[in-house]
Order: sequence, then C-alpha cells, then structure tokens
Amino acid sequence: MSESTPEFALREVRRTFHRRRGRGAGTVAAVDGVDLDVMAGQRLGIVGESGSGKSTLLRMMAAIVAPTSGRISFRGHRIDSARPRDLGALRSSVQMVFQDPNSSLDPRMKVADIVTEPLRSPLVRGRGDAPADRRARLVEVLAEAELEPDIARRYPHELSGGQRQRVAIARALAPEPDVLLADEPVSALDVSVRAHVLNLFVDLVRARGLTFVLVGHDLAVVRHVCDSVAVMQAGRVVESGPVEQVYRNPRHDYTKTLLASVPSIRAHRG
Amino acid sequence: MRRAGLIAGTACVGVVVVMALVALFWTPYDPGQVEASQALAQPSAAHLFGTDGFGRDIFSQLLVGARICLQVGIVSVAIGALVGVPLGIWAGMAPGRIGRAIMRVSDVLYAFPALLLAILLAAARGSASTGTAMVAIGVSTVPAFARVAHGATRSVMARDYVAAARASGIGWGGIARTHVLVNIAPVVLVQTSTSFGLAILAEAGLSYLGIGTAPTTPSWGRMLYDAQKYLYQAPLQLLWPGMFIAVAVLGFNLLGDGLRDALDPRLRTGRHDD
Repeated sequence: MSESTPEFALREVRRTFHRRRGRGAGTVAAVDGVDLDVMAGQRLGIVGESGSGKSTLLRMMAAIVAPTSGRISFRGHRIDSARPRDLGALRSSVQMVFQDPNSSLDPRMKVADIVTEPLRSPLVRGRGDAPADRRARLVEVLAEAELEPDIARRYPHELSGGQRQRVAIARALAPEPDVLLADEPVSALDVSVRAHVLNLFVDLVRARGLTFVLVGHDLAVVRHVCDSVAVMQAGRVVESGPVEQVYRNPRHDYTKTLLASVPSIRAHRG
Repeated sequence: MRRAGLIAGTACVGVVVVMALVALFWTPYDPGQVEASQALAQPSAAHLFGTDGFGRDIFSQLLVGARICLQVGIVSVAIGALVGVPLGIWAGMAPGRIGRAIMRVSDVLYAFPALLLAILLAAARGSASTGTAMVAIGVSTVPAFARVAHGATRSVMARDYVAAARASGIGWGGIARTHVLVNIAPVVLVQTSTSFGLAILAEAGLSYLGIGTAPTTPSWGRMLYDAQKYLYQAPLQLLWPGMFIAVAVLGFNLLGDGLRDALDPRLRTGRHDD
C-alpha cells in the first residue's frame, strides 16, 4: 500500500437521474462534479443533508450505480465503465453495509446463507486468499459481529433490528475485505442499539486497519468514527479535511450551518 | 373467515382431482360404450347421472372429463409459466430498453385471443385436438405470467439485498436464482392457480365450439355441446358437465385468492417501508 496511489480516486464524477412523472420532471443531478481521494487506512466520513447525493456517491464507489460522467478508479484501475468480470479487485476487497437491514437482508434466506453469500461470489473466490471453508468462516464472523452461533439457522424476520444490522456487518466482513463502505449504518436502528452497533464498527475497523467510508447525516457519529470528513451539498463536496480541523474551524458557510444545527443538550441548573 | 375461501377452493379442486384419479383405474362403464337402447336414460342406480343421446354413461364420461380438464390445465399453465416467468424475470432484470421491448411484445400477445390462436393451430395441424387447444391456451397465458413475474422482479431488484449481492460480485444468473426466483415464487404460485381455472374454462369453451378436444373424447366442454341437442328432452344432461366446469373454475380461483391472502403477510415481512 504505497502512499501515492489512493484506494479510491474520483474525478469530476457526475450522476444524473431522469424523472418522468410528477412535479420534478426532468433531469436531476444527484452528484454534480465530485473530486475525492480515499487513501488506504483512511476513515472518511461523508456528511450532508438528505438528497445531497452522498448515498449515490457511495453506491458509485461500490460500482452498483454507474456515473453519468467522470472517472472513478480503485487502486489505479477504472471501475466506472468496467465490465462486471473486470471488477474483480473491487468486488473482492470492498464490501458494503446498507442503511436498512430490512431491505438489505433477503427475507427468504437464512442468516447462514446471507452471511456466506459473498464467499460464493466467483470474483471473491478468484482472489486466492479468500476464506475457503465457509462454515468455519461463518462461525468466526458471527462471533466477530457479537452474534450467537445458533442465529445462523434463523430468518431475518426472527431477529431484532440491531441483530439484523450485525448480520449485515458479518456478511460484509466474511470475505475479509480491505475497504468497508457504510451507508448510514445506524440511522434505521433504535436509538438504544445505535451506540452498540457503532462501537462494533469502530472496533472492527480499527482492529483490522480497514479503509472505511461512512456516509451519514449525524455529525457526532462521523466525529466519533472517522479521521477525515467531506461535506456535501447539492451534489458537490463543499469542504473536506481532517475531522478536528473541519469541526473546529469550518470554512464553508454550509458546514457552519450543519454544525450549528446539531442539537446540543445543556444542563441548566435551577 | 378469510380461510373459508382457501378451504372451499381446496375442496372443489380436491373433488376434481379425486375424480381424475379414480378415472385412471376405474369407471362404471366404458365412457365410449354406445348402447342405443339406453339412450337418454334418467339418473338411476345403474347410471348415476343418466346416459347421453348415444346411451353412453354420463358419470363415466364426467370422470374421464376430469382427467382431460386437469391435463389441459397442467400442460397449458406449464407452457405459460415456463415461457412467461423467465421472460418476465429477464425483462425485470434487464434495465431500460430491453426490458421494455420484452414487455411490449408480451402486450401484443396479450391482445391476441386464444380462440383465434386455437383456430389457426387447428388449421395448421389439419384437425383440432386437445393438444392444439392446450398449446393455444398455454401461449395465450404467457403474457399474464410475464406481467406478474416482471412486476414482482422489479420490486425485488429495488431491494438492497440485490445491491449487496452485486457489490460482492454475484452475477445476474446467481441473483436471479438465489434472490429473484425465491422471492417472486408466491405471486407466481397465485397466478398459476388463477390461470389454471381460466385454462379449464377456455378448454371447455374451445371444445364446445368444436376446436378443442375431438369427438368421442369426453371433455366437459364437448359434453356440453353434445347435450345441447337434447336440451328439451333431457336438460339434466346439460347440467352435469356445466356444474363440474363451474366447480373446477371456481375451485381454482378460490384457491388462488386464498393463497394470495395466506401468503401476503409473509410477503409483507420482507417489504417494510423504503
């Protein structure tokens, strides 16, 4: 992992969506010219209000959504226009955790099959050092996600929200990725389990030295987990830098507004 | 109360299935056995539902007719599902133009009546038979399956578990097998039951018009046609096949609706707010 080649390099990335019906008919630019580098081992938080294009950006980095224009490279190789079978490096070393485990876990699959699904991927198996013994890896990874082994035989609807998201984390960790992308991984969860799941993320990412990209609207969460931050507004990155610098000394007006809108609880003494 | 439809439907379908099974091994008389002296006999201990104009035992014909009816349903629904479901899945998974093109072709086929197709097939083959009727009904059932599979596939493809599978490099074939097929199975099953009822009705209609099952084979639609000549002498003759057609069609439709209700809550567990 040389310092010079970033894990992800995004240049002038744009993504537009067409709306056919309704009032907003026409073309909407979800991501509108983003330049971004993610270095190996970096823990980057992407923040912004809903609709600012941060989830779309993350999905483009995972090559689930293709950019309308611009270039996205992973370890120096273009992934924006690559054919599925040429995405081997990306697919085998980058995994993603989604916002809502109700949608990201197949309701008709057992936890064991959900978690080991990436291990059945031809691109992951093609990596050579990917875990070969699926059953052993399943037990290992469930333990790492702090889940009981007997959960493997259950269906997602039999689990609590926190357990479901930990199953999604276990699935992402199963192929031993180097990079973890997370799209608001705790915002669909009950407040009571958020901290637990979030700490699990922090521990796993730190213990493995993973490159981590976290999309979120909760600034406190990003500050807790990440070392650098990119602020998005209306499809553009308006400010980026080390977390402490951006939080203490925001330069862009939008960042100031975002920071000011964080509700703070002050104790009043009566 | 919602279970009542399912139970009634299963009972009706059960009656038809039992009749067809019995006909495989036993009928009171040979259903084709003509006995002129017994023509138009009233129902009696010897002939449970009476005899037709040729003196053939109506009960025996009804039993064999149940077999024909199920055979037509199974074959034509199989054609419809085996062609329509893969097409619908393909259209639902293929983005943009390809998917739309497949569905437009299916719409054109939808506008093409089974009756016309049956006439064309019968003309092409030289004679109408149960086979041409089954193919005609099967082909005209394809669009219904394609539509149902298409809609269900699109809703599955919008789920994040498909995005997760793609993000770890599972190919389209793998996604279709492990995620799409399993998740659209309930709606396809409901469509199968409904289509089965419609296929039976269509076969009865085609046979009645003389472009379905050939004479001497006791299809229920064929029996209706034969009985029509004796409408005023022996109206009961018309009643029996008509009643069994109604029972079979009603049964499969109730079963379909019942399955929809029974399967829906489980569908919903996987379909939370987006």
